[in-house]
Amino acid sequence: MDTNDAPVVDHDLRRADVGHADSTAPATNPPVDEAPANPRMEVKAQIPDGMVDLYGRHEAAGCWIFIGWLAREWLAMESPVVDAVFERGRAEGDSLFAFHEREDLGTFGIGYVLIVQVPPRRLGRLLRLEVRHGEIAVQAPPSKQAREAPEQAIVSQARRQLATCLPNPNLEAMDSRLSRRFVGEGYIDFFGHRPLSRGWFVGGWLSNDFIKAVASPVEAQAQFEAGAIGGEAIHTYFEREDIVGKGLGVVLFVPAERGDLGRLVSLTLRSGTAVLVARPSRNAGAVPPDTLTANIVGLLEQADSGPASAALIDLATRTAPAKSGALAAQPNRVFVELDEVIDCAPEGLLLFGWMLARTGDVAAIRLRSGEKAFPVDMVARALWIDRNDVVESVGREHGFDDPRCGFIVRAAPAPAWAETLSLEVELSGGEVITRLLPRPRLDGVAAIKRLLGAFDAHYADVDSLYGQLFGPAVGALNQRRLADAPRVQALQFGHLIRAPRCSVIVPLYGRIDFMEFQMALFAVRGIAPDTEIIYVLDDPPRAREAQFLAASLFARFGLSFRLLLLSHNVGFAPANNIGFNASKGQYVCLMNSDVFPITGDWLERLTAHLEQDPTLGLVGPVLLFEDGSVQHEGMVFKAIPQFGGWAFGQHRRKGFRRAPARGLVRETVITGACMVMRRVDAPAHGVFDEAFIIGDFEDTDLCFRLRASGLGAAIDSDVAMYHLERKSQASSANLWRTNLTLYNAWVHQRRWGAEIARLGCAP
Amino acid sequence: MRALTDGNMTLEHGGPAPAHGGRLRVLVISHSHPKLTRGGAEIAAFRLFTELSARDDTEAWFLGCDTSGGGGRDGVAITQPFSDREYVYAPGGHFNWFRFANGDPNLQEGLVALLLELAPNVIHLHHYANLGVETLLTIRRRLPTAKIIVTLHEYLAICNHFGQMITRGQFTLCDASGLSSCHKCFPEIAPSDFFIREQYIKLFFEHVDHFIAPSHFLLSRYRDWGLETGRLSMIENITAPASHAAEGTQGRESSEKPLRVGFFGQISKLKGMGVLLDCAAILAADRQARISIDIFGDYSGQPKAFQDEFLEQIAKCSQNVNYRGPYRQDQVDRLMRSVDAVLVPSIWWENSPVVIQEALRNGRPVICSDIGGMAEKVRDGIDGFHFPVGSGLELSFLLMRLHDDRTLLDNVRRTLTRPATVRQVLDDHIRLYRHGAGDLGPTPGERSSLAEFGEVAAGTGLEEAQPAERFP
Repeated sequence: MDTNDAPVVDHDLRRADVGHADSTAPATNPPVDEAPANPRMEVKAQIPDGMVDLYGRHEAAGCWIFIGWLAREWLAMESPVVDAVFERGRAEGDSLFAFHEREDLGTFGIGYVLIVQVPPRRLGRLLRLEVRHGEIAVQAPPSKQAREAPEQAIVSQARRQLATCLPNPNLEAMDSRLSRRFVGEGYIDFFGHRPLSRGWFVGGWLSNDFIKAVASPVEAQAQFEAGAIGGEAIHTYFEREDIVGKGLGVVLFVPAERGDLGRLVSLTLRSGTAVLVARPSRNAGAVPPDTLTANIVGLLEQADSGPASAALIDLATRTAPAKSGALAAQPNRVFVELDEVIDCAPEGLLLFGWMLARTGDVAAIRLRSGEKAFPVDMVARALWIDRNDVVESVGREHGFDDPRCGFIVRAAPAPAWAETLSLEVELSGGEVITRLLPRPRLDGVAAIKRLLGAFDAHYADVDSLYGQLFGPAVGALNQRRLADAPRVQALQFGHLIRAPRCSVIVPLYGRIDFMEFQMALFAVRGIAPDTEIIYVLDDPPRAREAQFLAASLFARFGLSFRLLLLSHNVGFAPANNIGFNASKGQYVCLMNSDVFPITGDWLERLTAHLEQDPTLGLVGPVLLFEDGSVQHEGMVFKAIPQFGGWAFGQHRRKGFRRAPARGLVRETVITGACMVMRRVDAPAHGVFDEAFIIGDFEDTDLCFRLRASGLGAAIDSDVAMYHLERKSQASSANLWRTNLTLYNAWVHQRRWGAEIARLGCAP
Repeated sequence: MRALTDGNMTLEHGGPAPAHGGRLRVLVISHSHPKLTRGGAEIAAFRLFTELSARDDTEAWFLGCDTSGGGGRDGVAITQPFSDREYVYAPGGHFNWFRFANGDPNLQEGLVALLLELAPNVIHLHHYANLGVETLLTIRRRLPTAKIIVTLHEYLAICNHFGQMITRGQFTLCDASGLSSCHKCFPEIAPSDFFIREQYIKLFFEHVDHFIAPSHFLLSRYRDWGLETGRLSMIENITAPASHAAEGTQGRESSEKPLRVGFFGQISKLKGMGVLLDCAAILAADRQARISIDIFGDYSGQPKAFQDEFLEQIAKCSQNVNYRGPYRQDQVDRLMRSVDAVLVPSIWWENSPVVIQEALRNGRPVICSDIGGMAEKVRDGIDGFHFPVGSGLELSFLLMRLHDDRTLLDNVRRTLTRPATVRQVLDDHIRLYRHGAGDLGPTPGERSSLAEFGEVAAGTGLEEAQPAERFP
C-alpha cells in the first residue's frame, strides 16, 4: 500500500517548535467518528493506522528516533519489529517503544516515541515506518509536515515526550540512551590483534573532558573495514608530554577472537552517558603481536601501576595457550607450560606446570642456565596431578584426554632462579621446547602451605612423595624461614625470681584467655615461690590483648610472671625454645596453655621423681578431658598403613575412664602437653627440634633423644591435670595441615623408625 | 578458713574475728546500688545495710557498683557519691559475665585500701557480678579472719541462661547443669569452656564461709552443683509489713459474687502470662464463669510481638480478664486486698518471689505453679493452692473449684502463714555472722522464737527479685 496517496483525513500537526515544550496541539480537523471496523483491513486506508511526525538521528546514542502515533491496539503489542524505509536504504534494529496519550487522537490512537537501535546513517528522506507483530502489520507514513530534525532538536523533543509517557519498562533504558552525548575527542596511534591474548589492543590518547566523564565500565565498539567487534574494554591512562593539559595517553584491550578484520576505521567508547568516537591518527596502523607487546609494556611500565595497568601488561605478555591457532608455532606433538616456581635452596627448585605428550615423544627434560644443564627427573621426583582445565582446552583439540597432565617436580640440584633460567624439553626428534621459569612468588609458610595443599596422597605413594619430592623441599623452606629469628620483647610482672628452682614455660596462641584460668589456679591452689612462670605469645595480632590481660591478672592475683612477645609467629617448637632459653630454672616444665592443674603440689611431685631417679629424664602427669575421661596416660606407636606404614603416636586409653592411680609408670614416650625435665638434660638447641613444623612429633622426638642418652620417660599416675584438647576440624580445606602432620611424621620416621620397630611398639 | 598468701609478697592484712558480743563490723556488697537501679538484689542488700546500721551493736557500710558508664572519677576506682557509709565502684567495662571475672586492673588497689581501712569482720556479698569472683580471694587474703557470706539470688553460677535453669528458646525446665546439655543450649560455646566457667567460679567460692538463700529449693540446687551442706543456710528475704492504709479491707466470702484473682508483677512469658491467658480463654469459652482475673503490671519491657499478642488476647477474653495497668509499690497492699487470691503462674523455678510474701502479709492465699521456690513458699492447701506448671487448663479447673466451693479459700485464709518480720530475719543474719550455722537452717513453716515480737515500722516495699542485669 502506498501511503503517499494521501488519505482523506490527515491528522495534522502543528509544527513542533524547536526548544519549546508542548505536545502537539489538537488537529484542526477532528477525526471522523465512524472508525473503520477493522483497522487492519487493507482496503480502507481512509484513516491511516499510524504516522511519523518527526524523526532524526542520534549519533552519540547510535540510534534513530521517531515520534508519531499508531492505532491504539499497538499499545498492547509486545516488542514489535520495526523497519524504517528511506529513499536510500533501510534502518533495522532493536526497537524500543514508549506511548503517550494524545487528545487529538481520542480513543482511536496513541502517541509514541520510538528508538531504533542501529548506528544511523544518512539515508535520505523517510518513506515509511513498517511496524510488525506476528501477523499484524502497519505502515506509518510521514505526515505532511514530517521532516528529519537535527540531532539536538529530536533528542530534546523525544526526552520531553518521554516524560509524559505511560509507565513502561523501557522508559529508563530509553531515557538513558537518549542522554548520551559526545564528549571530548580521541585519536588512535596503533592497534593490533594478539591471538595469545585473545583480543585487540588499541593505543592512542583521549581528551581530558572525556576522561573526567568516564565512570567505569567502558564499552568499546570497534569498527573495521571488514566487520565490527565490541565489548567491555580494559583500559588505563598514562601521561604524555605532547598532550599535557589536553588529555592522557590510553591503552585499551577488547576481547575478541577474530583478528582478520582489516583496517580499524573508528573506535566508539561509551561510559555512562558520555560517548566518544576515536579515529586513527594520520600515521596510525596495525602492528604485529610482538610489537604490540613491546609497545604496551614500554608505555605502561612507567604508568601508575593500578590493577588495570597490571592486567594489561599481563594480557600483553601472556604466553598461556589460546585456541589452537596461537600454538601454530609449537610442534604439534608436545605441549608444556610452567605455572609457578618455588625456590627450595639448597634442595633445588620446585616447578608447577603441565605437559601433554605421548609415550616416547619426550627424550629428556632439563634446566638450562647459560652453558650449564641440570637434568630434571620427572619420574622419581615428580607428582602428576589432574588438570582438567588443560585437557578441556588444549588437550582435546590435539587428541589428549588424560587429565593427569599436571606436574609438581623437584629439580635438584639446580642453580638459583634467574630470569634467564629455562626449562628445556627435548623431543625424540631432536627439537627442543624452551620455557622460561616464572619468578618465584612465595616463600616461608606461604610456600609450605601451597606445596602441602596441592596433593592428597595415601598408602604406598606417601613414602616416595615425601622422600623424593616434598620432604626435602619443605625442610629447606623451613630452614630458611627459621633463619629469620623473631625479636623478643619481655614484660616482667611483679619481680624477677633470681634463682628459680623450676621454670614453667607456656606458649600462647589463639585462646589467650586460658592464661586467666591457669594463673587463677596457680594463685589459688598455690605454686612454690621459687617457680618462675613464663608465657610466650606466638600470636602477634593478639599482643595488645595479651598485655592487657597479663597486667590485669597480676593486679588480681599478685603472682609474678613474665610475658614474652614475639614479633612474628614461629610455631610450637621455636616458641618453646625461646621460652626455655629465657629461663633459668633447674627444672623445666613445658606446658600447653590448655592444661590446668588440679592440686597445688603437682610440680613438687613431678620434680621429686627427677630428683630421686637419675635414670629418669622426662616426667608428666595423667591428663584428663573436662568430663574426667583420659586424654593422655602414656603413648604407644602404631603403624598407619594409610600413611605409608609410618609410626604415629597414639594416646593409651584415650577417652576411657582413668585407670586407678599406681604411682610412677615408665613409658617409652609421653606427650609434650605437660612434661618436666632437668635443664642440663636438654639438647643443645633448646628443648624441641625446630625441624618439626607448627606442632607435631617434637615431643616424642625429645623422648627418643633423651632415651638415646640413657634417660627414660614416665607418667606419675597419682598426679592428674586437665587437658582440654579441642577436637580438630579435619576437612578438605585443611588438607595442607594434614599433609604437614605427615611431613612431621616423615621427619620423625626417618630418625626413629628403626628404633620404634626394634622396641616393638608398632603392632 | 585458710589464710592464703602469695609467698613472694608480704600481704598486709587486717583484724581479728568477731567475738561473741563484740561489735560487728559488716560490709555489705552488691553489684549495683538502689539509688541507681531498682533490682531485687541491690534493694535487699541495701535494706540489710540500713537495718544493720540502725542497731547499736553493729557498724555497717555498703559497697555497690555503678554500671551506667557515667559514674566514678578519673584515677579512682571507688568513690562516695552518696553518704559516708556508702561506696560505689565504677567498673571499666572489663567484666566478663560468662566467668564472672573482672579484668579491671584498677580495682584491686582501691578495694584493698578500703578493706584495710574499714577492717570489717563480716563481708556480706549480695552478688559477685561487676566486682568479680576474684574479689572473694582478695578479701580472704587481706582479711584472713573475717567471715565471708554470700547471698544467692538466682542460679547464675550454675546456669548461663540468665541464671534461670530453663533452656533457650523452648523454655523447658532444667534440673541440673551439664557440660553437654549446656553446650546444647549454647552451641557456640564448647563444653570445655563451660567446664572452665564452673571451675573458675568454684575456685573462688572455696573462700566463702557461708552461702545464704531465701529458699531451700535454691539451696538444694547449689548443693547438687557441689556446695557442701554445711555452708548453706536458708534465711528469708526482708519483707516489709503491710502498710496501715490497707487495713480493714475485708475479703469477700459470698459465692454469689465473682471470684477475683490478681496477678502482680512483670508481664512476661517467664512469669506465666501465657498460662494465665490460656486459662482465661478456656474460662471464657466454657460457661458463664464468674471468675475475673485482674492483671497488674508492666509490659513495656517486652518485645513488640509479645506486647501485641498480649493486648490481643486481653481483648478476646474481656469478660474474664482485666488489664489494670502498672502499679506502684505503695499501692500493692491495697490492690492485693481487693482480690480474693494472688496468682503466681511462673513457668520457671523462681527463688522466693517477693509477690508471694506480699500476698501472705495481706492474708491472701496464693495460687501458684507446683515447682521450685513457689511450691516451697506456698504449702498446698495451707497457704494456697498448686497447679501443674504451664497448664492453663489445670489452672482453669482449679479456679473453677475455688469458685464453686468458697470454703476452700476461707479455710486457707485462716491457716496461711505470715512472712517473717524484719526483726526475725535480721536476727537470723546476726546469728549467722556471729556463730555460723551447720545446717540448712529452719525448715519451711517454722519461725524463729522471735515470732511473737511486734513488727518493726514499715519501710519501702521490695520489687520482685529478678535475674541480674547483664551486658548483651
